[in-house]
Amino acid sequence: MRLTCPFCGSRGLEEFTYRGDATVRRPSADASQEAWVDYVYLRDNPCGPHRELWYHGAGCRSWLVVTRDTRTHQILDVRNARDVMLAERMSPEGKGEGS
Amino acid sequence: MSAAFGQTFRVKSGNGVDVSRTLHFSFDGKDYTGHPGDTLASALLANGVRLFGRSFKYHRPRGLLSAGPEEPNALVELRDGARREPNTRATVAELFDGLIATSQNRWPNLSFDALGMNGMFSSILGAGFYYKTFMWPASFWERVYEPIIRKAAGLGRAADEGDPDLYEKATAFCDVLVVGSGSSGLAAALAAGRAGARVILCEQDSLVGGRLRDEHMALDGKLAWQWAEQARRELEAMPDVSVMTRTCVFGTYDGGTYGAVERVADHVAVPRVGQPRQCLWRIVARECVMAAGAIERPVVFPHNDRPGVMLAGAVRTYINRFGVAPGRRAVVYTCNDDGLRTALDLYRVGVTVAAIVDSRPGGASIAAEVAAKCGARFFPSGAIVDCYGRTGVKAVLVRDAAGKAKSVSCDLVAMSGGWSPNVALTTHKGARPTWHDDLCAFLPFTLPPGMAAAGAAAGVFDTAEGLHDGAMAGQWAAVRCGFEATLPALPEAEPTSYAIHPLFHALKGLAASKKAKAFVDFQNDVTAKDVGLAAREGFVSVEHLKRYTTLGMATDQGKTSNVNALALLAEITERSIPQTGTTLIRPPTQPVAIGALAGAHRGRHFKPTRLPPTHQWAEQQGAVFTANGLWLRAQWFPRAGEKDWLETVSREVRTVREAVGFCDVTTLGKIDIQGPDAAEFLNRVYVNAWLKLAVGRVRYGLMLREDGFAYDDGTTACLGENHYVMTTTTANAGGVMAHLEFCHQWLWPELDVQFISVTDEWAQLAVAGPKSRDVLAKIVDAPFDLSNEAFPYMAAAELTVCGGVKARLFRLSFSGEMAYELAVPARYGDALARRLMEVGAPFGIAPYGTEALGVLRIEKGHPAGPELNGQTTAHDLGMGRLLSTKKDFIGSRMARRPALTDPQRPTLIGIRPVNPMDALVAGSHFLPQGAAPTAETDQGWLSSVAWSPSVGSWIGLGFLTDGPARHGEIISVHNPLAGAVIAARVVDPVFVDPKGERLHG
Amino acid sequence: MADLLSATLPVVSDPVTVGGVTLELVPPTSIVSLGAFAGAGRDELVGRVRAEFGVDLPDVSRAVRSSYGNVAFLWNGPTQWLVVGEDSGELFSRLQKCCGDVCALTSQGDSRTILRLSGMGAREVATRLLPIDLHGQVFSTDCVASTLAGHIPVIVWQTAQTPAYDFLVFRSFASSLFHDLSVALNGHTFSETDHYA
Repeated sequence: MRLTCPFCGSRGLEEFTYRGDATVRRPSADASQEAWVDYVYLRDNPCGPHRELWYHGAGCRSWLVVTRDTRTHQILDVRNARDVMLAERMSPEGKGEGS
Repeated sequence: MSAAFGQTFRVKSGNGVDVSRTLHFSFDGKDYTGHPGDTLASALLANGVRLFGRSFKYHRPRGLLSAGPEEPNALVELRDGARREPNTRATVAELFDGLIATSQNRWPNLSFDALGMNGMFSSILGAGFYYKTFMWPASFWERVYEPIIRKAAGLGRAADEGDPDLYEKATAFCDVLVVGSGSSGLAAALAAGRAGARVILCEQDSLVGGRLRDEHMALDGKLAWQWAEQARRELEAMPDVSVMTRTCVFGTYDGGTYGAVERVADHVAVPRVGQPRQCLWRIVARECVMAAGAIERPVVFPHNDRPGVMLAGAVRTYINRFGVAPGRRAVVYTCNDDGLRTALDLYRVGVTVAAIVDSRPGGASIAAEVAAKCGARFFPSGAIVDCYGRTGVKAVLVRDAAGKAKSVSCDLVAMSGGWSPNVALTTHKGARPTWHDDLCAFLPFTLPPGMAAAGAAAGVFDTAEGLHDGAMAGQWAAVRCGFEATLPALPEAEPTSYAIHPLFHALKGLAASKKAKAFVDFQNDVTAKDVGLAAREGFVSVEHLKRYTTLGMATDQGKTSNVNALALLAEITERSIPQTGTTLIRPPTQPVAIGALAGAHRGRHFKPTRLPPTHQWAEQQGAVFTANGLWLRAQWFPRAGEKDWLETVSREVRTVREAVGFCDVTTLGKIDIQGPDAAEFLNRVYVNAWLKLAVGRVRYGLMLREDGFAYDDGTTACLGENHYVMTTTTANAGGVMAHLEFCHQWLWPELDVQFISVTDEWAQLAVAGPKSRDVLAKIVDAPFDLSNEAFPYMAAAELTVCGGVKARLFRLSFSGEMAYELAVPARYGDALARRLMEVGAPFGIAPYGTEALGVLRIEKGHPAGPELNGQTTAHDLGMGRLLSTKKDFIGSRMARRPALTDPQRPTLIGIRPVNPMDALVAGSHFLPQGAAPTAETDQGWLSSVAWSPSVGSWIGLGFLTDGPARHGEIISVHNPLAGAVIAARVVDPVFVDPKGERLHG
Repeated sequence: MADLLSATLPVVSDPVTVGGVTLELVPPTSIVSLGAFAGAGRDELVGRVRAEFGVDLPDVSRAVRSSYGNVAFLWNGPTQWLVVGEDSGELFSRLQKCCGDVCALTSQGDSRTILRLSGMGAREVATRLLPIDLHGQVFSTDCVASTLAGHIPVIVWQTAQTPAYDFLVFRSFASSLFHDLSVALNGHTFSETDHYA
C-alpha cells in the first residue's frame, strides 16, 4: 500500500505507522467516565471509507488524516492532521468535519 | 530410461540454444551434455531421459508435463552442499556447465522405488486419507504418525548449511509495467516506450518472445522470434525503458505495487563475489499491462501421468525453441485447432505422428487435413481411454467415434485441453475471473486499479490480434500517464484458428475410470476419483475440495489442474462451471526463496545496529556487549582474574558505591523541546506539575497512556526560558517522540512548541559514586562551581569541559549515589571516556556496564522496563502521589478509575530471600506462605532480580497485593518452571540509603 | 590543565570505490535545525533568513543554497529546516543573531553523519536501498527526501548532477548504513541493465 504524504509525496507503507480512528475526539477532563471509555476503548469498524490517523515517522514526522476504503485499501484523501484540527477549532461548530 | 549416450533426440538447432557450444552436467550421477540456452529439462530430453521424478503420494514415475514454470512433475534438486536447492522445476532451471541435478522422492533409485507400492494401496490413500487416518489417538501424532508421514512424503531435501549467497531487495518505479514479453507484451512495451513513458518490461524467462519462440511462425515474413529480438533491441535502446529478463512478477499489491523476483545469478554455478543471487523487486507502477500469456491444460484420462504424456504446446516448445524432439512416435490428443500445430511441428522434424485423436464431435475439417498431411490415423470424436508403459509411454488405447477401442503404439502423447489465460495477477486483490463458454476459460473481469490485461492472458489467442491488443493496452497505459501515444506499426502475422470444444476429461460414461488412476493434479496426486469422493462426502465447495484433496497446492499452485478439477466437480454436482466457482489465487504466482524476501537483512545484519559514541573505546577495554533494542551496549568490563560475570558486575557495583564509576547512557532518548508553550506542553504530557521548573533545574517525570497506565519515565531539564531537554527510556525513545508529535499536532495544535531528537547529538556519560565530584573537578573548566551549594542535586547547567568543549551537566542519580550525567557533542564521547579513565585513576574509577547499572537501580528501587510493562499504574509503582489533581494530563481521567487505585492491586515492593543465597528468578509468582500455587492464591509477581553486593543478598523488585502494608511479612516466591519455592521477606523497595542522603552529598 | 578532547569519526572504514562509484564519509559539518515558532510567524522567519542569507527557506522537500558563506537550507518537515554549513562554531551563533528569537535552534552536527555516494552509477546503487523514485525527472540536484535506506532512517540529498547523494544519518546508525551501502555497491557492478528506469 502507498500513501501520498501532503509534504513528501507518494511513499510506501513501511514509512508510516497506523494509529486508528480519526473521528474520535479527546473529551474534556471533566467529561463523564462513559465519554472517556468511549474515547479510549470503543471503535466502530466501518465497511467502506474511514478516516484514520497515520504517522509519517520515517519521513517528515507529520501526523496525517487518511481516508481509506477498508474494503479495497483505496486511499481517498490524505491531509495534514494539524491543519485538519486547527480548521476544526476555527469552525463555528467547534467540532465539525474539519475539512 | 538409463544412461543415454549423446543427444540423440536433438533434431535441429532450436532458436533459443547455441549448439556451437557444449555444456557438461550430471543428473543422478550420470554425465550428460547440453547447450547454452537449454533448460535442464530440454537437455535431459535431448539425451533421451524421460523419467524425472516420483510423484508425491504414490511415488509414480513421472516425466515432463510442460516446458515452463507451470511444471508439476519434474521437480529436482539442483546443486549440492550449502547451495542444494530442492523442488526446482527442471523446466525453468537454466543449464550451466557443471550443473549437478538429482531426482527427488525416490528410494533407493528413480527407476525402482520401494514406496511405489503406495500405488497399490491407493484405495486407502484417497482424498482425505491423512485427515481420516492419522487423527486418533492424539498421542500418536508426534511419536508414530508424523515420522512415518515425513519419511514417506515430502519432496526434496533442503540444504543442511546456511545459504552462502547474497540477496538483495530494491524498489523500482515506472509509468507502465509490462508483465510478459510475448507478442502482446512486446507490442505494449513498444507502444508505451515510443510514447516516452518510463517502462519496465518483466519477463520470467531468460529470453524475450514468449510463444513467439515456441511456435513455428512468421511475422512480416521473418521468423517470429527474430522480430521479438528486434523489438527487444529497440526497447533496450530507449533511455527510459528497462527490459528485465529472468524476472517473475509474482504478486499484485495495493497502490500499484507489484512484487517481482529477479534471478540474477541462478543460471551460473556460483555467483561472483559480491553479486547477489536474486533480487526482490518492489515495482511501483502507475499503469500495468498484464500480458502473462496462458497455460495449457492437460486432459484427464486413465494413466495420463505416464512419462511421455506432455502438453501439446510444450512439445512445440521443445521442438522449436530447444531443437529437441520429445519422442519418436507420437499421438496428438486435442480438443482445439491449436493442438493440431503440434502434429505439424512433429512431422516437420521427422517424428512419426501415429494418430490424431480429436475429441470434437465429428472432428474438425482442418484436423482431417492435418492428419492426412502428417500421415497420421485420424480419430474424430475420439478419446484416449488408457495409457500403457510404467516408466514411459508405450501405447495408448484410443476409443473411436463408434465407441471401439484400438491400441496405438507410441512413446509420446501430446495433449491439449485448451488454454487457460494466466489471470493470477488480476485476482490477487480479490477479484474473481469469469467463465467464458466460447473459450472454455476464465477471463479477467474486474481488474485491479491501473491494470489492463492483454493478449492470451485476456483470452486473445491469435497472434495478430494479440499484437494489436497489446499495442492498444500499451498505448492507453501511456495515455493515462499523460503521454501522447500512437499505435505502433505491427508486423503481419498469419491468422490462426482455435475452435475449442470443451474437453476436461475423457472418462464420461467409462467404467474404466472407476479403477484406473486418471490424474487431475499431478503434483498432489489427486485423481478424478478423489474429486468424485470429495463430492460424495459433501465437499462440494471449491474451497473445501481444495483443502480436502490438497488439489492446487504446492509449488505449481494448480496451474495445470484447477480448471479441470472445477469442471469435474461441476459435472459431478450437476452444476455449471460458473455455479461451481473458482478458488482465488494468492501471491506468489511462482515460488519465491525466503532468502530473496529477507534480502541483505540476515544474520548480524538482520537489524541495523546503533553504536554508542564510546563503542570503539569499550571494544578496546574488552567489554562484553549486549543488544538493547537496536543499540549495542557494554554489558560489563571484565578484568583479568575475574572468574565470572557476577564477580565483574559486583566489582563494578562496589566501585560505584565506594569510589566512582562511569557508564555510557547516550542510548536514553533525548528530545530538545523549545517554544513559548513548552512548559504548558510538558505539563500536559507528564502526570506531575511542570509550570514552575526553574532554569538550571531537572525534574523527574512520569507519562501515562490515555488509558491511565504508566507509559514511560525520565527526567527533563530546563536549560533556558522556553527550552527543555527531555530524556526517555532507551526502549521508548522513538515511541515517545511519536507520542509528543501526536499530542502536539493532533490534540493541541494551538500550542507553540518544536521538537527534535538530540539522542545522537550528545554523548552522555553517567559519572556516579562518592568520588564523582572529585573526578569532574578535574575536567570542568573554570569558573564552574561544582560545590553542593552551587550545583545541588537535580541541577542542570551548560558549561565547557577539558579546555573549551561545550558540555551539559546534570546532577542526576540512578544509582542513589552522588552522581552526574555529563554530555558532550557525540564526536568527543570516545575521548571523554578515555579522559575520565585518566583523571579518575587516582580515585579508583572504573567503567560499568548495563548489568551493574541494573543492579544499582534495583538496589535503589528505581522502576525500569520490567516494572513499566504496560500493566502497571502510577499507584502500582508507588508514585500515586505524583498524579496532579489540579490539571488535565494524558491519562488523568482514566487513571482515576477506582480499579486502577484499588489497594488490592499488586504494588511495588522489595523482596529479600530469607536465605540470602537463594537465587531469585524474575517472573516468579508471589503466594502467601503455605498456599497452594493456584490462580486464586496468586498475589503478584517478581519483576526484577539481582545479586546485591551492597546488601550481600539476592534482592528483587516486584508487585504484591496490598504490598506497602505488608513490609516484614514472609511470603513464598514460586517459580513454576523450575518447581522451586523460596521463602522471602517483603521489604521496602529501596535497599540502599533509604533516606536518600548520599545523592545529596 | 586539560587540553581539548579529540574528535572520533563514527565510521572507521576507508572510502570504497567500485565501478566508478565512491562511498565515503563526509568530514564533519555544522548542522543546525531551525524550527519555526507559530507565534512569531513563519513570514518573519523567512524574512530574517532572506535578509541574512539571501535565500528563501524552501517550502517543499529540497535544499536551497546560499552563496553567503556556503550554507544550505534543507527542508525537514512542515515547520523545520536543517541548515548545513562548514564545520566551525560560527553557524550557530550567526543563526542565533539572525533568527534565534523566532525559532528553535538546535545543534545537529553531531547527531547527523553524512555518507556520500557519488559517481556514474550512484543512482543505481542508491536505488537498491532507497524506496523512493530517484529518476532524474523526479529527483534531481538539491532534491531532499526523508525516508528509509533499508531499515535505517535517512535524509537523502542529491548534491550534484553526476550524481552524488548525501545520506544524512543518525550518527549511531552510520556504521550500519556504511555496511549496507557497501553491500549494494559491491552488488551493483554486476547489473547489466539500468533497472531504475
